[in-house]
Amino acid sequence: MNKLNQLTITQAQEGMKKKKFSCQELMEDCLKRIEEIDEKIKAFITVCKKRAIQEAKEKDEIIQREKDLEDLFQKYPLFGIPIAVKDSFCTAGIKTTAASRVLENYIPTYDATVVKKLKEAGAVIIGKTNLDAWCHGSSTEASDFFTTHNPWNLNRLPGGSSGGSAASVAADMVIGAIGSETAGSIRQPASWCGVVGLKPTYGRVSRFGLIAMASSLDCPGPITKTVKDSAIILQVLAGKDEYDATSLSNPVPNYLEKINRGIEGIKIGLPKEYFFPEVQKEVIEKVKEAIKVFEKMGAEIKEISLFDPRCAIAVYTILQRAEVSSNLARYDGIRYGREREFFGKEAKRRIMLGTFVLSVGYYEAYYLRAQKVRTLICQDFEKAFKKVDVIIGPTSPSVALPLGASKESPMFGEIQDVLVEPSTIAGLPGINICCGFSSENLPMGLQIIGPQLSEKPLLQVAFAYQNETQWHQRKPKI
Amino acid sequence: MQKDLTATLEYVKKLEEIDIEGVLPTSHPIKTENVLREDEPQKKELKEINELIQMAPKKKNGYVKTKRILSF
Repeated sequence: MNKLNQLTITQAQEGMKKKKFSCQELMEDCLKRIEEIDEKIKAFITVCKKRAIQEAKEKDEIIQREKDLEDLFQKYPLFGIPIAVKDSFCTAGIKTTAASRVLENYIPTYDATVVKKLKEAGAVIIGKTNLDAWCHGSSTEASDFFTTHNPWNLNRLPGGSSGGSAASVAADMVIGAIGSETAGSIRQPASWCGVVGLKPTYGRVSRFGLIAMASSLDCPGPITKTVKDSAIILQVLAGKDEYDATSLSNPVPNYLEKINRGIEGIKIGLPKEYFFPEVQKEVIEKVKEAIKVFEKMGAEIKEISLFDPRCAIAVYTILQRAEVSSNLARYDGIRYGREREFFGKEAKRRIMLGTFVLSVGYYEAYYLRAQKVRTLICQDFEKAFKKVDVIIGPTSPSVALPLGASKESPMFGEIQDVLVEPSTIAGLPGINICCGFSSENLPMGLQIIGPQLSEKPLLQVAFAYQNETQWHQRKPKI
Repeated sequence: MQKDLTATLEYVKKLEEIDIEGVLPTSHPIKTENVLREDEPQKKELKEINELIQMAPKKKNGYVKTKRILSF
């Protein structure tokens, strides 16, 4: 049998339900894997070993006691599942740093809604994963502590900012993980690490207790081994939260129901602007091969035209810096955390630029103009979704880049995230799935974008592709 | 740092090429309505209150201590 840490959520639940193994055994296999390889990968800032084993034992006691296990696992869809959480989510009693020196010793007294919901669904938090400090970046190189390495090649970056979460899933250190995306921070690391990353519609999942980056864009979401696991976690997380005024009260559909319905008759849009010359050739080739697979499975492919994604970089940069400068103002070092001089270089850059674009005399030229172009980008997508059901393109313009790559440009993150920024600006959901491997055996990802609240069809399309291609079965040798 | 900021501002100049005549700004991607609730204080356990105060780097007699912010 496989080592238990390699299992998916579905498999792990099946095993526990049939008493093939205990929750403690599952937890110990994950912890053992972390002990063995995290020295090289460096995905975790905190591993909650004692706590996780204790909780696993408690779960086992419940399993022993409970007569109707079918019912138990139905009621608690993540019962006994070891989950890693990005260190930007508050966890009561567990250090929460946002990978920053300012919050290096911060221990929250409360759980983020996402964490609370995971626990209520039976999940066990196994540890907190690395990110670019305050989520500012696309590589984890901007973490104030250390850089995470890509499990597929230790000399490569995992992407970011949820790089620790993506690497922990790809390296089978956990069964599933939680990331957060402002623009690309779930999809891009998922692409570089060859796993599934879902960024839900803005507002579908509560932001309460997520250390804020840019509040009009931030969105928590699952990073998993399979599309089905992604649906299971989204089901747990989605919904209105009275602590987040922007969370949506729209009913949450059953994401698992008919996830295997197939894609017969679905109209897929291919935006020609997303295949620009800077996108690596191999990436374009693989996405085009994937399109043929979709076609074979009965989808209708239509070429469409969208706003040049490179414009979105500029809009995103201005809005995000502005919101960052406002959000980071609360870290005054008076009530908790350290003083402001502990902010790293990237945070300082963003605070300064954000303050500048919001200042009198520049507000109209920068911030207001960016907000207006944001309107145009939103309208552009609305128009496109009158013609097609979903849009498919590469997630990242490249495969995982070598360590050090982010140091070359102050705009590194924005340029890496060029293909995910337009949809994030419009608050749209998107999912990354692996669509093959490069000549150097690095994973490549494609993204499926849909209209607001279209998570269900996105998961169906992604599920069909993953089932057909089975790229997700390939594992890195570490 | 100065060079980096200038480079970023140079980059975002791209937006000047886009015609925004008559376009309304978007501050939020989702059409939501204002959510109001009664402004009622929530009772917290003394334990939690103490935990929160313990987090402050400087405190005195159960209060958070700061530098003087006003001068008379």
